[in-house]
Amino acid sequence: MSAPVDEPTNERLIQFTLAGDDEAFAELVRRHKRKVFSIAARFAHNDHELDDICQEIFVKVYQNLKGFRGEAPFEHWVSRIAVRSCYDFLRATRRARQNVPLDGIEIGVTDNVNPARAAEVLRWAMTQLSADERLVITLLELEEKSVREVAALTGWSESNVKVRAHRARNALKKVLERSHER
Amino acid sequence: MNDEQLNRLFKAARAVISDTERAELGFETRLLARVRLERVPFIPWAVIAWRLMPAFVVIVVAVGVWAIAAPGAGPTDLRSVIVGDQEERTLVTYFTGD
Repeated sequence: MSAPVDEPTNERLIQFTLAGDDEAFAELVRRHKRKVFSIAARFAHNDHELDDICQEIFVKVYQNLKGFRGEAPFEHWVSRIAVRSCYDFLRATRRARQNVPLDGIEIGVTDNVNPARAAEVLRWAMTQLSADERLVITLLELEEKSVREVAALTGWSESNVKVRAHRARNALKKVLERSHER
Repeated sequence: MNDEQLNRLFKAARAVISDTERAELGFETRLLARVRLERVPFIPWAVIAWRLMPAFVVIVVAVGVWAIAAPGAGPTDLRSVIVGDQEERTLVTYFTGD
């Protein structure tokens, strides 16, 4: 009977990757891509954008692997890079998004909100917000992270997160009201 | 719109889980191809020039040695090349009477 093969830890895979083993890095990616894709999917508008953002995130992970000290779990470190990359993506694409037409999007928030419709409406409304407003709403309200977690992921202070969240909610309300009036 | 309505909207939107499985297909392969591509080092011109410095030094030394060791070169001025030989002949003719 053969002995069970232990899976290498993240730290071991990092060591192998730094030594030039691409297959070890591929294994790291396989382990963490689900989490990264779920974060990026909140900001991407199609599969192509999603792929671009995720590649950008993992390229940064690869380039900064030497700097990983192991003070926090590797998953958290990757999530932090993912959130910051998404923020950069939002900032880079903000101008293009502002021109999305309102036609065909009717906003009515009743007691029974259809989830798919709500997601569509929210997705559109968020395109009208700034990058940091969008990021903070996504992390706090859609990903249901705590203020502390958002602070750790973004590098903002907790009070800063609260202020930005308050402003973001107000901005979102205005966008939804304005489009409802039309 | 009030906070309650907004929260309902968030709650409904949270229920939608985006399916990323299709986008994840073959992701490692695409990523590794890009990583390998970016790993090819870019060497700036200054670095190339610095690496070629020993070759430049060898060339300069060789030219210097050749310049010192080579037999004396003739005049480089075109006029003196043409006239120089005629002056010598004139002198020989004068002294020898040929």
